[in-house]
Amino acid sequence: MSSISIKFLRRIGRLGFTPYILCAPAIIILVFFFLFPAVMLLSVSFFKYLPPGTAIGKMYEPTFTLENYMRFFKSAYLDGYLWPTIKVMVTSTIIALILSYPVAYSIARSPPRKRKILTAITIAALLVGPVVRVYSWLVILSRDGIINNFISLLGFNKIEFLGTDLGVIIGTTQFLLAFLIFSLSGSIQNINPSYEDAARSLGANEIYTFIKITLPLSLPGISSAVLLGLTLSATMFETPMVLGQGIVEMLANLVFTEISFLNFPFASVASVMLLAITLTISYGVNYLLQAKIKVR
Amino acid sequence: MAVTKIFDVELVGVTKTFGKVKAVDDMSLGIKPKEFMTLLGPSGCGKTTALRCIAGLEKHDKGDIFIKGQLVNDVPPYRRNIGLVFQDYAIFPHMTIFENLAFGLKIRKVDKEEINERAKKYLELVRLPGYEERYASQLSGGERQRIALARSLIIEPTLLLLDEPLSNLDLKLRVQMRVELATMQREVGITTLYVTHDQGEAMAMSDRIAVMDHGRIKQVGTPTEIYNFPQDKFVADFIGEANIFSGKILERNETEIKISTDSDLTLFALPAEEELKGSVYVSVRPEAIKLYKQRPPLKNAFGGSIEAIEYLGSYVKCHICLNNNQKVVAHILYTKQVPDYFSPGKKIYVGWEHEDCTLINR
Repeated sequence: MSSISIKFLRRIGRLGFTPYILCAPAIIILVFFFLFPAVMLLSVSFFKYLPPGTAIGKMYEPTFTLENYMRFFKSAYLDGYLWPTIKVMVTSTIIALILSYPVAYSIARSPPRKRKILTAITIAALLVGPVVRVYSWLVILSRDGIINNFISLLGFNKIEFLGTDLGVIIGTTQFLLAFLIFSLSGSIQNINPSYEDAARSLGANEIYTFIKITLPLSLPGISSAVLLGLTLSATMFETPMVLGQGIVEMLANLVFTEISFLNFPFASVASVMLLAITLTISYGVNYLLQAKIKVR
Repeated sequence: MAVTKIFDVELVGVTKTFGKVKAVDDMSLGIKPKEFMTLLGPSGCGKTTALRCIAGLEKHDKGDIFIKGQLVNDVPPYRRNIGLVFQDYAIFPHMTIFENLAFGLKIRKVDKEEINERAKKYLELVRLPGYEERYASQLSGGERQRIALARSLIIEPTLLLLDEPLSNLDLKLRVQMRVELATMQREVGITTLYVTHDQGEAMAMSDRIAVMDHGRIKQVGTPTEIYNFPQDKFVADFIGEANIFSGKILERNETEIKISTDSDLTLFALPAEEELKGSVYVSVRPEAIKLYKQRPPLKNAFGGSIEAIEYLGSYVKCHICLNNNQKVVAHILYTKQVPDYFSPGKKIYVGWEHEDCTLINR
């Protein structure tokens, strides 16, 4: 890993200013449309909220206050939004990772033609619009949906998916699958199959080969897939809105609600919290996984 | 199928197809105990597939593979106890050299002390003592190659398979390693199957060579047999260089065989031991062809002119066009007179002895 970045830095040194010029457009766009709004967001979260009618044409007053944060931490917001967000993020990423790894592995180890077809199918899953996708799940998961009809046919009690964590997690996991499969299969493909052949010739059966060779060598891929899964699931909005039925809500839904009440400072607090937990969890996971990656 | 005790490894009619391509086609081969056998052939001739079938990494469609007299068709690779060295070495990058060496031993439940001892012993064998704590990324190509060899030998396998292990090394190291590899093989005394497309490696290292083309074995023999008595046009052409004339046998008696080539040359060869049909190929090695200023007193002597000359250090490669437009190549040892006598455009004679003509059935 580090040798690659050292080589990269050396190359930059040789190229002079060219890399900076090439990066400039992206950096300018990021500064204006990401960094600047992010700073704005952070500062607004410390501003005083003016309820409608208090001052004409003003939604907040630029004086420093912690009352927005106090409100967030002292009331039911932690249990109502923060905790469900973390729960959905972590569970659906873990489930999606477990489900997508075997698929990604078989794609990566397929002959080129088959690999192209399987990859195309994976991409096709991404082409379904978010609204169509989430309403399809509504049809499948509702009380009179396909699954519950089948379950009651077998004589079991119906399962409540809508308005529960389970429903939101199912929807989110499915959304993540295509991304994770895509990201994992790329990195598994980079693992030289002769490592696995070598292990088998040395006496390792399939399971031992997987645990000792394939899995450790795919840790970099797993690490980036997990980061992708966490960041994508953190910003879930339409899935909890439709499948959560207003009972299970995530931070993105809180932001939406507060903005519709024109409470920009509190919406900013929710956004800052979303950013904070995403960064914290991602950093933590990355730290743990990177420590395990021994490939130099 | 009869299995003889002579062979450590025996392939009987092994066939492996990929889609429509027959990668290995009805291959039968026996490797004797402690023998260094080489599968030699151009890339894509099926030699690596054959090796992978023996290792069990590829499942053959037809035929039987025996290792030490035991039928292994349905034995998974991890139970065949075969040492395998890959072209790209496949040293596990997330493990130290010691962990790499210990990998196969831990599976075999060898106790810790013995693992340490054996790791030390095999690192000494491959002349890399003290390399236990390094990673593959810290080693050079040649060092990785030796570690791969040590890792495959440390499990004390019944058979060692090497898949073009030297092809990723630079020329000098390659030549040096092939001597070392052959020495180590003899030191350990392990039955070895070596796969390569490099005839130099095959000739230098092997007890016997099996020449392969299009999934089939063309000839099996010692390096000298293969070089001096090719039984097949492909073998004659692939091993070393050869001038190959196609022709018909005109006359044969107790002292010689007279052949007329399609290009209207009349060649004379010694009577052959094997059965010959009417149509034959005549193979003449370039180093057997000598150049003369005057017509030599040989029956195989023809006039021609030099077209081009390549100086290749110790010898000179002459491209000659005979008077009937037949092209031949001759290798002559470099002497100081060479540039004066033999330069492009010069009229010369070429000649060779009866015994230099090898006859191959068409």
